[in-house]
Amino acid sequence: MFDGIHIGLSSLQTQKKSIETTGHNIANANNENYSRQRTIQTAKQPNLVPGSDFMMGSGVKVEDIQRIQDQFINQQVREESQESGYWNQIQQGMERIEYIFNEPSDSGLQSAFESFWNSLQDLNSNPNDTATRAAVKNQGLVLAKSFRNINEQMMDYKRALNNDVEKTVSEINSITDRISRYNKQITTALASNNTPNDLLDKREALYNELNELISVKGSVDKVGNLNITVDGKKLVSKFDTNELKISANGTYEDNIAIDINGTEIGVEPDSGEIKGIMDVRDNEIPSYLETLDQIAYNFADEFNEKHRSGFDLDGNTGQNFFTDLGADDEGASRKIEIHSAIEADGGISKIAAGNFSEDSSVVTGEITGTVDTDEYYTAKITDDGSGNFDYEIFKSDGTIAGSGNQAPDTTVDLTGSEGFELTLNGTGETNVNFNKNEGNGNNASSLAEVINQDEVLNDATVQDNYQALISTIGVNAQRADQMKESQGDLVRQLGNIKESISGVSLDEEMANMIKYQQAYNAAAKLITKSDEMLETLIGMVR
Amino acid sequence: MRITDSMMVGNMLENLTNNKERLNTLNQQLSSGKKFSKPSDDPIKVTTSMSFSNQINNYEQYQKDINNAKSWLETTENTLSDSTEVMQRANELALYGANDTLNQEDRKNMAEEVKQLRDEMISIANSKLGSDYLFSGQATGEKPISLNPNYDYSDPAEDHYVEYNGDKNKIKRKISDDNKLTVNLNAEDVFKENIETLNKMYEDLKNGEDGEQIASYVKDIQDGMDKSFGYRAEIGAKINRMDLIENRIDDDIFNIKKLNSKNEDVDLAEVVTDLKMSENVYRASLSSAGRIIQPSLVDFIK
Repeated sequence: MFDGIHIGLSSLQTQKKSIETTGHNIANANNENYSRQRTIQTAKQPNLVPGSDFMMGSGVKVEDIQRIQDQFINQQVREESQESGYWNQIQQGMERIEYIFNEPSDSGLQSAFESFWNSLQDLNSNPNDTATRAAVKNQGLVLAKSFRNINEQMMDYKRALNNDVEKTVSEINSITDRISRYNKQITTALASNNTPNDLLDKREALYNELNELISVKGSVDKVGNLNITVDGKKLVSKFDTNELKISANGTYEDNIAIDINGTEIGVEPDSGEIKGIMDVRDNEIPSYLETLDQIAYNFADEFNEKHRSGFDLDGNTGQNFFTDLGADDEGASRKIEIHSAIEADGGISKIAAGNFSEDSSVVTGEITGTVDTDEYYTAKITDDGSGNFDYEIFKSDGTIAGSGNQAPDTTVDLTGSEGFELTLNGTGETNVNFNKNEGNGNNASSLAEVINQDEVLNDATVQDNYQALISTIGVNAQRADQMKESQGDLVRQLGNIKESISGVSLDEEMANMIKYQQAYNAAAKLITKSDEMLETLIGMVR
Repeated sequence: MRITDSMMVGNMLENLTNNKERLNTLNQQLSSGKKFSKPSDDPIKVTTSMSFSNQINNYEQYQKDINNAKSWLETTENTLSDSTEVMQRANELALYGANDTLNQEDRKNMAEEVKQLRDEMISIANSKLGSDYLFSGQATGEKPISLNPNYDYSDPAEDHYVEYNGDKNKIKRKISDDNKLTVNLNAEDVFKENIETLNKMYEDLKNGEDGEQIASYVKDIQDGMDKSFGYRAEIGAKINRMDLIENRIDDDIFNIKKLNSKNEDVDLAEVVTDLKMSENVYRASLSSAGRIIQPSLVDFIK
């Protein structure tokens, strides 16, 4: 007779718990790390009806509160978010690099090259004009500064990325530390047969976060510990963590290592944000800087060579326009600057606008002694048919200064008689003079050609090389944009699938609430009816 | 698929962001008039545009250089034309002076005019453009013609009236990627002989030489004029060549600008249409968002 009340009671309790779970779900509807929970209801152990051979139901109980999850999808989301984290960083880096180069614009390196070229062409027209000379110097300063600016900003960015690696490492350490603590709480709970659903959610949220930062592999052991490795090295093992550390390497190129019992072992992650940061720092930036160095070096080197062969307003030669950048292009874009002699007060008269020869493809001159400044020379060079040159050099009064037969690109030594040397470059006739000729701007246009016509690097001009560099940066940045986009989409789609499985649907919860409420009402009715039945029975006895 | 509330909100936000991004891109294109603002927007178009703008810059500089060179040539041409006039007058005088009916007094009067012509010729040879002497070769700071300080008409070693102080070097101007043009002439080639001729004629007239002697200058003067015509023709040809190059550069600039505009400028009609469409889509997505969030079973449970 009391069974009805007991059954009613078990139902009341069970429906209440179910409604509470529904409430918990609703409360966490906007918690993105939450997995919805379900009460699993089962019938209680039935009783044998005395004096019969059949069993009688004894009500209901909550057997378990389950997290609704698909571990396979969750793992996929994590793996893709490693890639997504990686491409986010690459994309950010490329965007920054694009801003640093600032092309196309009126203030980038290309525009500095153009203005410098313009000033040199002006110098060709007005070789002895002070304002024009000053413009060449100033545009040269701007150009050198533009190179150095890009280099400086790239290095600043590289240093910032190096700090980012450090920050990411400490973030990773903080996450792994918390995961190991959750491991302890979860295993303890599991050992006493509790299902720590919310703790599992929290640990998983941390684990997901970790996957964005660095490519890790994880597995849950029998007692519920989440063990994590990176690059095959243990990061979290049960309740313990091995710390990630920074190991100094080069200029702002620090590596990461894992500290296992005091021994640091290098770690090379495949993916994740940290790998993205390191790739921008160690691959992207250095490769563009290297090309920029090559451009700066070959440009300055060629420009200096032509500048040295020309003469300035005082008739002097051998002056570099840019400071000598040394034997190789290492750091050239950082070091490039105008030679101090040109930059100094009055240095503009040292800009070598003129050159000795009308036609430097035929002959070039070099002063090795004192030359009579009123003299000019006519060089006639003809091929003798066997690959050598016949040459005749006349003074301005028509007398012969020298003649003979020589191989191409060799030097005729006239130091004894005339005080200078000439290098024979090709066949032809030209005037050579060593006068202080302020009207000679022939070298200026030849200097201008270093920028847009001479093939100084990779069989291409300085400007072509620079445009190719911008194109490479553009293509890489575009690829990073696309990868970030598609990887982001993939993560979002997988996230939707995950959400579709584990997310809370308010409609569903409301429906469940009504369902449980109705069951609760019915169970309460059962208890009332049982009570009435008892009353009736007791009334009969009275 | 089981759809949850945060999924709908999430997807809606995602779509809203995408639509807004598209609006932003179109707005940027509309306000800048350019299809791209950074290399990754379109690496090929960006580098093409860089190389176009480079070419435009160079061609515009060459226009300036051509104008510079042309003003040098045109001034040269003017002075040559002045010198021709001087020589024509000298020619008339030589023909007239050859007339034996003239007396000594007449010849002396003529001498005075020839002297003026000689001095005019010297000042023509010393013409300047700005601060540069036109006819002293590359030594543009040197006055090309000066008087011989040891001048002595009776001494054959010192009977030249003037000296040339410049050099014979050519001033070359670069006026296009593959054209370098010599713009200058030097006074030694162009004027020195004429000055000496005029001076000799002056001395002989002054000294009362006979008509036969004066007549001998007619040939020299005409030779000098012929030579001068030759130089004028050369300068004229160079000016013509510059005009041709200039025209070609003008055409090139026009064409490159057109190509560059095709390459980098947005089609306004297209962008405005796209923008309108995107605005509509954005508005639609906003209103659908409003509707998505609204209904839920909660609203129907009392």
